[in-house]
Amino acid sequence: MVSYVIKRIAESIPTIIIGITLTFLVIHLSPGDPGSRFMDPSQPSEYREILQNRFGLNDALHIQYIKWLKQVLFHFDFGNSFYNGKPASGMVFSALRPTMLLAICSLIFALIVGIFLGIIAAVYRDALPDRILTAKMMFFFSTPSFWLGIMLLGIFSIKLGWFPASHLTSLYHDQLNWSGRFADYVHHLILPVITLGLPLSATFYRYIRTGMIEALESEYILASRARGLSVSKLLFHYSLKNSLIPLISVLGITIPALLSGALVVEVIFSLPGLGRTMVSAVFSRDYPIILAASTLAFVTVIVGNLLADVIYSMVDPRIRIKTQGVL
Amino acid sequence: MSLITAENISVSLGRTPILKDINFSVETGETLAIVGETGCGKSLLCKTLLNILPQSLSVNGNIWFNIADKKRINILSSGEQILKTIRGKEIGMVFQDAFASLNPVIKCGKQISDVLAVKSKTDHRTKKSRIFSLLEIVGLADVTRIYNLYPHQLSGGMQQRMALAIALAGNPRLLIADEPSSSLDSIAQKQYLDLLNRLKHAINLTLILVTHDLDEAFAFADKMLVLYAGYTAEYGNTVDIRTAPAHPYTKALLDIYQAFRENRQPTPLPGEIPSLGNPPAGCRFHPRCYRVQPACAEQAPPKKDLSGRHYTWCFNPIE
Repeated sequence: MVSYVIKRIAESIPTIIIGITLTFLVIHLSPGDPGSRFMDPSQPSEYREILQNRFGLNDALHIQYIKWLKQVLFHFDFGNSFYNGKPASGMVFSALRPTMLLAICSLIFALIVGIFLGIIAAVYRDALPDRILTAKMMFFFSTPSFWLGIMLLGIFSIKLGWFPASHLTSLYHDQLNWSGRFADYVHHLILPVITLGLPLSATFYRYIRTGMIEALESEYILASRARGLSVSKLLFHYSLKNSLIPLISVLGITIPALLSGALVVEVIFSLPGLGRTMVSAVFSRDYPIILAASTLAFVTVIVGNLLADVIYSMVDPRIRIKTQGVL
Repeated sequence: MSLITAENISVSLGRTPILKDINFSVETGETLAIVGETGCGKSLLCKTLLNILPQSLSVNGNIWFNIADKKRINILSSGEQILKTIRGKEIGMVFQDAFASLNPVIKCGKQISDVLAVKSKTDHRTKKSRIFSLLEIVGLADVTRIYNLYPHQLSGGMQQRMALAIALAGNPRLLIADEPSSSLDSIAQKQYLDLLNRLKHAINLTLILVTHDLDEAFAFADKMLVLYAGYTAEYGNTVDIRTAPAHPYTKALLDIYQAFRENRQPTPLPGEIPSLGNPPAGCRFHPRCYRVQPACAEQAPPKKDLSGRHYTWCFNPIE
């Protein structure tokens, strides 16, 4: 297993380099330049040259690229923000924390809701609870998160005033004790987590429902009934473990969707995360920030996929043997 | 009192009867062989005996099971609470496809231990030693290794023995073995059946053995139930059926069996097994029967008592 993980990490390095190279090219070849954004149109064009020189943007593109890649690979230095001069990696890492908090909470929410409702639907297959749940979940499955977010914001935040409309913490957050801070986080996170997690839970729901139906109809469940095992044992141990296998395989491809979804949700709820940092960096042509953020996104997606594969092999012993054989 | 008695069991899917008026009884320590071709409803009958059929099938009749202190319960009309005390503990079952009947993601030892946990609450060490002894009883060597293996890591023969160990874990008095050896090669088949026979005598097990191999039935069974397309063709003492088959279908099966034993080319029955969705009227065997009479096509044949322990369902049985 350890050698498998090391091999996968080694394999992912070229993928990351290709990804960030493409991002580098796209950003530098797109119209508009950072220098002109700092300038008043009435100022002389020499000022622009000075700014471009300071940002190292006057070199040929390939020279810029090699310089940048060397810095990144050997010093893990993504350069400094064009705007505030702070190191890009530090800025992006601090923005990653709220994003991860949002993404992980949404994932847990989606897993709990998807699995729980999926089991109920499978047990009452084709009966009323199943039909209602499947119809509702199809609705959430096809709902874009920006629309859901705006609706939730409009109803629960603006009309009813139950939840805050923006930010991750209250103004008086630092004056609260430990439990107060936790409650403050929960209060602020409920709407963003539902916005991001509900469409995702619909995906999980479909997989669990299908997996559970397949498991409940299988010969091994019938045999387990013949052995006198209790219904709860059959449902939560014998069937669920088998129906989790397809769910884990989609988990890997869900992580990129989760991250890109988080970017949208952060913008809607004004959360100080990676998404908002990235969007404002794109608008202001802050190249170091864009590149650092996209590198981090690449790494997160690859690590997420790797984690999903490792969990997959832990749940399904048949896969474990195969990987041992191949490696 | 018989250990298990089936009275007029009928199973149907909507209006289509799949099993019709099956009757038999098995005394403690006896072996009943249920024989018939593929698709005649043998496995369905086994599942009916444990009341584990899907709800889409409707079941009629009574299955009386004699629980301790001479009390008997009707398995088909009992609630899940009572059935939980019967399944696995009083009646064990080995399924036809052993691999499919084992949970692929749970270790073998754990699958036995779960059945033991239902039976009685014991500590981990006692449970483990009981599991090891069960694995040894069914003839598995290297039990500590097998305890930690997953079903797919076992060979076909080992999977079949594992399924038997799980079925025996609850100390059942009746074991239903649904074609337990059909997926094994002939050597493993013989070993498995010998094991079953040894166990039967060692722990005084009552056995319902489903098979399409007449050799197996003659070697092990005290009684036989011959099924054809969901109907009983013949039921009775094995020796009587073997020496004097009364139903033309049983006779045809025996002729083929005899031809194989004597290395002759067998004469196959004309026609095909009827589809259960559109069965022929009257006796389901009549389109293929050489003793067919006009009445056979009109109504289902009545039960005929031949000797008090040998019955057939035929208008024109072989005397």
